[in-house]
Amino acid sequence: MSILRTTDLKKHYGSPGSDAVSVRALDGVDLAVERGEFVSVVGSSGSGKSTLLHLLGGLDRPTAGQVEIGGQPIFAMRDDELTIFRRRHIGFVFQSYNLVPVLTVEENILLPLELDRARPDGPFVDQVIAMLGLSNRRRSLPDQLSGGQQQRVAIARALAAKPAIILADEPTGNLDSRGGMDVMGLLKISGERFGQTIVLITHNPEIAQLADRTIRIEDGRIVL
Amino acid sequence: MSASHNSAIRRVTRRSLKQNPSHTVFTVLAITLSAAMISAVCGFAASGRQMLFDFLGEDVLEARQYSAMVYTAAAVFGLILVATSVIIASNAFRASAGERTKQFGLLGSIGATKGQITAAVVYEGVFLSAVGIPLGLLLGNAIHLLAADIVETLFVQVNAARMAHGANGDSELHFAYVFSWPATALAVAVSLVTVLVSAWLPARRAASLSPVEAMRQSGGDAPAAKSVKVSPLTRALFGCEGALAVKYAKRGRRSYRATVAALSISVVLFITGSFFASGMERSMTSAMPYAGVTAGVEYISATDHRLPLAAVERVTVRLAEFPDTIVHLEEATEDGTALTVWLAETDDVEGFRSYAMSVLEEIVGAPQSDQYRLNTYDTSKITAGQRAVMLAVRLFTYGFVALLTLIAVTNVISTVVTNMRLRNREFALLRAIGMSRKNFSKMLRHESLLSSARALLYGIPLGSAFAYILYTGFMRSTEFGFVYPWLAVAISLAGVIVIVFAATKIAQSRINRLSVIEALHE
Repeated sequence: MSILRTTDLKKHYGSPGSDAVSVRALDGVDLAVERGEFVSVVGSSGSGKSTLLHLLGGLDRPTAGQVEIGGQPIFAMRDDELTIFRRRHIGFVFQSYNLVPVLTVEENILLPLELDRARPDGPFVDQVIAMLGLSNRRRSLPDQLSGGQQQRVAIARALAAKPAIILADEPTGNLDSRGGMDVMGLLKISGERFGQTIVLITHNPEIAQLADRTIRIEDGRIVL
Repeated sequence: MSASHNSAIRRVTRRSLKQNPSHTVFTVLAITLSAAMISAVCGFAASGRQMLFDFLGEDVLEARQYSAMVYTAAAVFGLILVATSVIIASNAFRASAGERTKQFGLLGSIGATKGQITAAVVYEGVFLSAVGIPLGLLLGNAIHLLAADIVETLFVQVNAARMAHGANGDSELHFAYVFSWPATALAVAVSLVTVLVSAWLPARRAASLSPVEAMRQSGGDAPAAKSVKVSPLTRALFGCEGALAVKYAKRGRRSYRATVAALSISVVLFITGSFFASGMERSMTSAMPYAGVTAGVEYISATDHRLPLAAVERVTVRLAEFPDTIVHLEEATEDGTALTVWLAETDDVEGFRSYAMSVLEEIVGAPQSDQYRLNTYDTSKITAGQRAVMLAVRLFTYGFVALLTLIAVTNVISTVVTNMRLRNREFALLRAIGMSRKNFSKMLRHESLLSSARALLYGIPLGSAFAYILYTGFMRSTEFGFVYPWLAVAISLAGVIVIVFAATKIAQSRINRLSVIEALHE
């Protein structure tokens, strides 16, 4: 059974009332991802791939269509229900890291759990931190770290709540090719070790090839 | 939502405040200033009320009527000052609004609910208020104490003049510092609401956006995607810089609106304050109509011994027969009054006084026990006293207007400078794509013109309306007609333009010093 499924997902920008031209970022996407699968999404810029990822994770609301996670339609939930669902089941990794600048590495990693008032699984968090090579950086602030290190913190943050799904938006986009490959290796290993489903956007064909399956998006539609 | 459950959110808030000390200090200062202004106004109103009740004593009905006057003035100036303090406090929060919207988006993307974000805002507002408001209350009470002291010094002279006029000693005017709990509570409540609303606005904006949109905020204004038609006339007269200025004003709504609001409220403050001062001035001059008066004659009687009108006229005629003397009948009504006063302009004060006494005794007879009394006096002491009082009141009211003007100007400058800082990146971008300094100045000049015009459009009618409210509540009793404050309107017209252009120029010279690349990377 698919853990992630979209039906006729559409996102248009620009409201019909205004004279701004309506842009069809997504124009009817049907997608199914199996549990434990590693899917990469490629496409030129402006093709709608980031929009797709944001909708998959409920960071944005679609114009039409539905996203089902574990059989549950997520846009049937109210805003706060969706937020809580997201922090329990989905981990995000962004191209621009999006760490909270005033919190240390460890505090950033634990933040989603604290927001959920959940007791962190100490040994598991330690394991994640060690795996990502951040053990001696726990008390550093994000701007004391290199780009690759910051991205590893973001990955650790995404993993800390043991989410079923990891959504990554060009996680290697700001890194050099070696750093990029390191981050990809870590994502793949953690996905396998913790049985997680990964959907990852990339520009880089080399990185796309590491996935079980590659989806190409053009003009808001999936092309094969 | 219980406090212990939001420790993560509270930590983020506390750290943010700590990591950005200059901004935190600036915000606390803004809150302090707002709270001080509000608390000083509330305290002043409380003192004014106390003064009237002490002065008018048992006559509660009359006291009520007069306290209505005090409250009208306090309400008009209080309202304007509250609006000013809202602008000052919200400027401080506006400076970081883009940053905060971004942060809320980030927190939202990793699972903070709207309730948790609201809790962060409330926590920050309460945290900053906990420092700023007590400081503001201290400062406000200090201002109140100082001002009460100045007013009391003036009243010493007023009381002396009243005594000389024959008022009895137990109805002296006293304006003392009064600590009033309701006034303090009002000041705290208004300040807290101001702060919370200012802090909450960016949070509301973040909540209205999806986390993705919120994170994408560039830190400046979110432009409104609406069509802006630039008239061909603007384009012909002001070129592409003019057209650009119009677009910034229409699409970058918030900074433009903030400037217009600050300017309008300053215009209102100035017009209302000037009207108040000139009204005081006129009511005082009317109290002293004959500048050359040197001597006074009084007939004071019990109710059943009023002076008949015919007798009043005879006395007037006789008094005027004294050489080189002009006599004014000051108070008399048709059925004769309890108090009849003649004022005379003469060089021979002593000669006139004895002559006046003999005239009165001749016409109404010598004073008998408590049926009536005759008085003559030398008014030179009284006029000297009155002149001192007038000077003091004039100093006080114009000092008041100067203070209001200072607040208004500070407010405008802080708003304009905040706006320019928020637009550093935008300006750098324009320069990077080839806008020369000259083009840039031209654009900013046109923007200044737009916001000044809009501010005057709102400020002048509103200021006039407040002046009229002040007139109906406070000065109608002085039997004056409403005189439109043309001079104040003209001064504010010129003042707004000068201040906006000067503030823009100052901010611009700062921007010219910034490197384009640094600003773009900000």
